[in-house]
Amino acid sequence: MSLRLLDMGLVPYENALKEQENILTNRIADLTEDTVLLLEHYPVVTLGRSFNDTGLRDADFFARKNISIVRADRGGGITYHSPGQLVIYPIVRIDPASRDISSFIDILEIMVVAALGDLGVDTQRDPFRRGVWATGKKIAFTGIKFKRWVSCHGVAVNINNDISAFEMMDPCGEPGTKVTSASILSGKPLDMNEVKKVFSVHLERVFS
Amino acid sequence: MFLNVPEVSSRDGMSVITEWFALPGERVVKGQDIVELSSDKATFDLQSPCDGVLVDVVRKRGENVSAGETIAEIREI
Repeated sequence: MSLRLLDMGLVPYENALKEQENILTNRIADLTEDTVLLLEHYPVVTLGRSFNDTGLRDADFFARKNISIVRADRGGGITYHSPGQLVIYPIVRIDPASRDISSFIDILEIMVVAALGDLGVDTQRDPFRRGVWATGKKIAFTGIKFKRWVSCHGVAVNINNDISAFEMMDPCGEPGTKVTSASILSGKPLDMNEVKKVFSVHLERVFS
Repeated sequence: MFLNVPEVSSRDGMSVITEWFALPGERVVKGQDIVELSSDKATFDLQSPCDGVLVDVVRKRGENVSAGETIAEIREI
């Protein structure tokens, strides 16, 4: 099965959402193949379906910086996107008979650990908490929507982004969760083109 | 016909109703999105199995539901 990988570059959240919805509609109708979008977002806070009001500790911080807070029709709680964070939106069909949400998210997390490993960044999964972790801090965040068992939204991986804004929230609605990034763990910024290249290889491997 | 929560493989083992797209008394068509549920960091939606009227919604938004549980009734027409 072929996989289409599209690098959208740095895009506003709304634009990426619209593109996802278009591809999702076409994928459900079998008018296109499985597709993965790779991109970075301008700063934005998104609130998933599991968000509760206690997860956002300082809304004024984002208002002062003119950063939008938008509702997202994905699973999971609150998160923050900004340039330097790699966002991966797989729009792929899973077996409607198995409805195996768990394996789909497992595959995404395992793929992130493997790709970051190839980039020299050591991370792990946690048997009790979703996401990808390093030194007890969260580096990647999942939030998925399935429509007729085709996925959209996906996973965001902190690479070179400024993570200070995560201090103003409970990431994914998990109080006390600390956040890190690949550049912090490496002690230097990573080349985003190289990062996308490595992730593309792993995405091809798991979704083709 | 009854709309039941499907078996999904998720870490939670439970789902939460996150949105009803149709209201009791509303005409629905086969394949129309009726309800959205959330489980294990993912949302998923269920469609009407037939043309009919949504006569009853037995679980509200925000409630936890288990696989096999009936959450709505649709009278086929």
